[in-house]
Amino acid sequence: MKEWHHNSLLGLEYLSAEDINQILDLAKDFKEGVDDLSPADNLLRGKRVINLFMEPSTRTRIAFEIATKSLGADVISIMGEASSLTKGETLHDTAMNVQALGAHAIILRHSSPGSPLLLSQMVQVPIINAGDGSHEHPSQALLDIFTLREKLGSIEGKRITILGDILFSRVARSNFWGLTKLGANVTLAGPSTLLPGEVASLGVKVSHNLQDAIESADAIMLLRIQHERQQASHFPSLTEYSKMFGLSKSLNKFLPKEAIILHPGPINRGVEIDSELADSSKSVILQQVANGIFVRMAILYLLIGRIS
Amino acid sequence: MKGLINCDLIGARIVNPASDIDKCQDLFVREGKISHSPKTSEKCEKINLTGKIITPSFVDLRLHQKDFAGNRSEPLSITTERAARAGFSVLLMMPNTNPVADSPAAVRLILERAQKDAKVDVLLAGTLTQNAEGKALSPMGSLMEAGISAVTDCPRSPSNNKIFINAVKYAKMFNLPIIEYPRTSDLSEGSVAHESLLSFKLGLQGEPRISEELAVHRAIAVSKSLDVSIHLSSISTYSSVDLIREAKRKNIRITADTTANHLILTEESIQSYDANAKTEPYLCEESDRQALIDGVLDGTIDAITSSHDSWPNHLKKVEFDKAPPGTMGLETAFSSTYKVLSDKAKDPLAIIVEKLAINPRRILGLNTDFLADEKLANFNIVDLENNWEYNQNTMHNGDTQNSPLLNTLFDARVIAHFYKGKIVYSSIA
Repeated sequence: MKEWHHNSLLGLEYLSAEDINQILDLAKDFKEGVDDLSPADNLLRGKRVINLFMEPSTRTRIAFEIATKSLGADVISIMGEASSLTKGETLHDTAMNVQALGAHAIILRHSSPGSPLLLSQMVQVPIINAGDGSHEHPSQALLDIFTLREKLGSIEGKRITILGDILFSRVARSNFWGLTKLGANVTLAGPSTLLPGEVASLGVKVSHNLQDAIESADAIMLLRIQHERQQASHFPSLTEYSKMFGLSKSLNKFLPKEAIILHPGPINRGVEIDSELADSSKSVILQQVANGIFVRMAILYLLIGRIS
Repeated sequence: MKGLINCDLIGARIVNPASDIDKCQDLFVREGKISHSPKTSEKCEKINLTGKIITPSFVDLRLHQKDFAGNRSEPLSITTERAARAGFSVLLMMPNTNPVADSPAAVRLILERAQKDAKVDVLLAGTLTQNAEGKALSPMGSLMEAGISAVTDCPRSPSNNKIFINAVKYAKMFNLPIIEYPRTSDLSEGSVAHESLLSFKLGLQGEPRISEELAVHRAIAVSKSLDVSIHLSSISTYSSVDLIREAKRKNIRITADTTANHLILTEESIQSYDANAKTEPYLCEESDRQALIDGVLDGTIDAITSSHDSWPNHLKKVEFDKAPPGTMGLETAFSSTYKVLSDKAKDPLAIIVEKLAINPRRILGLNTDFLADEKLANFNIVDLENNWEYNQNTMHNGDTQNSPLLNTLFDARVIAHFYKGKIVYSSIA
């Protein structure tokens, strides 16, 4: 197996195309149950992984828990509301305590951008970013790209449209880094208030017209409208958003026949996507969720699998 | 040399743009006072300053001393020791003290405390509005009687236009310098960095450039309409520089400063979420920095401040968005400004002295004639070829380290500071 050169997984911005492919290839091996990784439940035996989730999460936390257990490691999940952080303890103090408990890796979900980097500077164990504010959500993007690779064959040259709340979305940022590194042609689409014009300088197409953005796409990646991050008013109403930027049945006719639809969940049915479309054959939303386990197994194994 | 108040300073270049002086001349200090025709005295130490420069001591238009107990700022004695070592003899403290400088009692208390602890002169700005909330005028007349030297809501700005205009109109009666920290509060609310491609990549909520720009527009319009001088504090964007240049061309009574940190640094310093680079205002882009430098060189920007705002290390060692804005600046203000301007002008030192020493005095209405006979010695000796690194060992009190310029190399340095006839700092052997 190739050497892995990163101590932590902080974001896809900091990985090369080769790194990303290494994770995806290993995830594929786990999914296919290849011999030298089987039985997987021995691979991380004796390791202790701590899920430090300072923000609510169901999908990501459970997927990491299942991935950790599938590799034979112990997992302890600490939730924000049950931890001392809400009693005024700093991230630094919490981190030192978690390290003292003998963690081999810390999976951090936190509302502050950059907090996984800060944590990695404080403790000696690998940090896995499970979403830091609006910054990055690398494991989500990796599972999205894994799913795209499965469905489209490869990423190189594929036209991927990321649609919705780009401004506040960590999923959008991580996918942008990952997809462009792998050679995709990325279009970012959404209302002008949620899609800063500066991003055009990153070499992506920017569109505020939904029909334009989807009509030649190989895949549409929808983003959840992040109510909790929108203190200011960025669009008039959910109804208006749905009308102008929701993937409705009437827009289906503009979608290429083979195009697939992704969504990181949880879905606001009838807002970002029509309910029937979400359940249609174009949708790979549940496959994303299932793939999330294998991708996270790969991440965990690369980061702590060979540390004694 | 410590404590020396009788000395002959031989061979230094003396630079004081206020009196158009730039020449090599011996300077004599007798019992703390400048003497142009001294009696010879055998007791006088003769100090060879060939290659060194004597400048007026510096005046800082923006210091934040949020408290005196060391909980949210380092103690004033440490801050002013830093100032003494950096050549600042006068510091203007912003009103966001504890208590806020918005009542005569608070002003007296703060000034009394400052007098007790400070190593150099500490002046106090009172608020423009009560509790700097922008809702009702502060009692500026009474504050002036209690001893304030200027009025400002810095680091806030009254959002209500009517309140702002009336506050300016009211302050004008007392001839108090009016300092505006130009921000449009609803545009800046919630921000933790300058809005840019970088802030987008980092996932940080940005403050749009237009927040400062709109407030600069307002200040210029109010200055023109009321024919009153307004000083704009800590300009950080190219659009503000353009507006101020245009206003000055029309003889509108606007002056402006920027911070030394904004001349040398850009938002790239927050690339790794270093909260020590979370300044107030936020560091902007290279195009902004270049415009600020141009503004300093062509006179659009009148002064350079330290905007020194120290925080205990543990308050900065937190998540970037939770860290308070503000960084140290006193000890690097002169050296970093020289580093930036040394190759940008024929005589960079004269420009720097004007921005750090002369114009701040003019803005505050202080005397600029620092070399008159029989005046107490108030000047710096600087060395432009003194390679040094700003770090925990070279700074005063390395316990507090929230500077974005740690481990930066500089050439220029203040090597001695004469303050009121005494030497408050000297590294001359």
